[in-house]
Amino acid sequence: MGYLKMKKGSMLLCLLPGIIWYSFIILVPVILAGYYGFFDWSGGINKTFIGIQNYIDVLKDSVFILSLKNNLFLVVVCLIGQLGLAFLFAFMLNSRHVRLKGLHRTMSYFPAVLSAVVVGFIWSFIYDYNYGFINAFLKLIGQGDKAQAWLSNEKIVMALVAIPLVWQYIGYYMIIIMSAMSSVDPQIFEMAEIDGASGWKKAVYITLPLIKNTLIVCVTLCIAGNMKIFDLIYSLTGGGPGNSTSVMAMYAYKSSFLSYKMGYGSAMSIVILVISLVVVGGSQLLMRHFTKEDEG
Amino acid sequence: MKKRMATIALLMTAVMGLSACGSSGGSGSDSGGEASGGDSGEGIELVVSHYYLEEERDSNASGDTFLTMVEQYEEEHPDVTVTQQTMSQADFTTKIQAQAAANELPDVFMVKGSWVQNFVDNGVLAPMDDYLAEYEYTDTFRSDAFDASTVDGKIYGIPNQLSMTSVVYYNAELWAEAGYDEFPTTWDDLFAANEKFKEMGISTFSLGNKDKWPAESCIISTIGDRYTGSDWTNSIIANDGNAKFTDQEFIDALNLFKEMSDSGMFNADCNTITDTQAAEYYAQGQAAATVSGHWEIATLQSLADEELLANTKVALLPTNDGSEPTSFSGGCGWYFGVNANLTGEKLDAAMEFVLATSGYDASVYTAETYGLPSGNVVSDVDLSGFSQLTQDFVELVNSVSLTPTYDLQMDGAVIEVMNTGLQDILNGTKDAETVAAEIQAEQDKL
Repeated sequence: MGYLKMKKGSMLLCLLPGIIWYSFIILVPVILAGYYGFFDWSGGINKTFIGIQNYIDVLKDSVFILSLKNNLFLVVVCLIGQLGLAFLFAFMLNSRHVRLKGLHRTMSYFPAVLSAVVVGFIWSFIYDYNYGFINAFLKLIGQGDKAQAWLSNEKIVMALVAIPLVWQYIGYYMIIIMSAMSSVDPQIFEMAEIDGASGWKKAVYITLPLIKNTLIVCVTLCIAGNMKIFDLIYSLTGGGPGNSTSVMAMYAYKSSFLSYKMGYGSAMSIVILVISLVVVGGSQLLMRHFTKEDEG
Repeated sequence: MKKRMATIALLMTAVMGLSACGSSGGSGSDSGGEASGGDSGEGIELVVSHYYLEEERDSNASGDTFLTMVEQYEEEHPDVTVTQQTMSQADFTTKIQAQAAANELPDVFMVKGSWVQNFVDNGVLAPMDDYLAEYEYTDTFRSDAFDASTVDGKIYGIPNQLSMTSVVYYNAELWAEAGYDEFPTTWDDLFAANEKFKEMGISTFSLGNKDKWPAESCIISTIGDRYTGSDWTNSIIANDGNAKFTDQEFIDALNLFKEMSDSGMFNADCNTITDTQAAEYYAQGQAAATVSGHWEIATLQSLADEELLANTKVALLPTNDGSEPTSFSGGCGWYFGVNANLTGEKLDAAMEFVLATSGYDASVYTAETYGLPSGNVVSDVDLSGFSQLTQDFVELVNSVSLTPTYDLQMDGAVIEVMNTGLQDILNGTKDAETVAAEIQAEQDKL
């Protein structure tokens, strides 16, 4: 005991570079955005103080509400799609019947290293009306009349946007889940097999509870990632048609830099931060609640 | 417990990542962008920010003109060091706004007509009247050249390009096939032709509205003016409350646009492709015509083959009563402005730089090299060496007048709502009245 103990002063000194870096990259901009949110400010020197009017307007803004709904839709789809499929694939890859595990692992992680703009570009080709893969396939199987400008169909466009998002990040979560799975003692599985547990039962009753904490981290990452999603949608649809694929971060960007409502955009980004904290925090509470019941 | 701590730490970092989007004003900018006062001594350094990329020089007439003028200026002024900050137009738009917000604008920078009022309100643009009064070629500027850069009678920017946003480029061969010797002069004929092209399996117009501005800048600006007249548009720009987007005339214009869209006049994927992709459709013969700006000539020359270029003619959208069109949307949209923080020698140098690179000499270069008109009237230009398309274009432009282009002059927030609404109309999800009401609601907030 005590051989690694530091004086409080020197401890703070060691932390200082990190704290300074963190403050200027994150804390200061957040506080400034909160401050600017109280002003009618179009960018520039002149600002008019208008109290919390911007914050009230954001909450009443129908486009913002629509964007929030789109974010929540993506969260739900990606929780099921990204994490669900990632768990499934990770479990399959851990089975001893699969060959070329390394190749599978590398290939499925590959999309995660691509820039979102590249992914958007690839998928806009897939959805393309004239040269797109989907329409070409439909024509090939004699269903040419079902060919359409996919990203113009506002009824399904959110789902179409979610597909590349799920596709891109399955590998990312798969790797995390696989590493958690590999830390589970194989003897447990051997014993379960002796007791006659099938593959499915092993997954649900042994693997899942034992990697619970990793899954909670994945859920958190997934929710946070989808609450701030911007780049892929920007390159794929730009929020269109109309506002039907608008998400919160994109609307904040557009308000600030296309409509020149800097104060309003700042207020919006603070509202986004609060909403995201609530959603992530809420999901944490929920998960903790349920996992406790399991233990009890 | 340790794992829970790790979870919480991860949660915090993940959520804090969000704030990257929230830092609209707080982020620092590179040190080169800061304007400093006029310090004399060993030469002057001017920081100039614009969106003319060297690699796009071949296909961008105004870009090549500006870069050439800068090279000339540097040769003639060895005592002045010009540092150029260049980026794509989209990046430039974002960066200049952020720099204006932080009051860290470069010495000389491009401003869009619709920003001028805001920038002047914030005191970041220097008035140019005194320098224009001494400028040799002030008389040669077009009469409407400073419309968008004038605030309270003072001029804050020198135009360096003339945008002509609404010209119909049509494939005469395809129109002849459909039974038209030239582009129709009435809407009825245009709609009738549309039915023929549908039978032929091509669209009448190719439109690439993914980025939302083409429908508004190239089509609505002209159709709108046909219905409302320019007084209405100027009243909207001045925001004096007389004109409203909910006026029947503007709704009629939107309804005509909706009719065009509903009758299948545009390609089905018009909301998912870009302006350049739309030019490709036209170049490949998948559309009989396209409505676009002066930049389309260069685009088509790089995309289309000789035969199609030879068949391409220019025309204007029909008027409501079928009479000869006398106007289309256009005007000076982008200007070079000078930072209001500059003083003394440096201010003089910046002003001289702007007039040398964007004034009469630049217009002469554009006219002689590209045949295109710009901010100054240049007489006696020999066009015979240019392509037939360029000659036709210049002839057309010279025969009519220009009316305000919406996105070059109206407020950015209003334009953003309009552009989004037009996409909804194209998609058949909203009617003209709803969109008009939404645009007016945004205008009311000004």
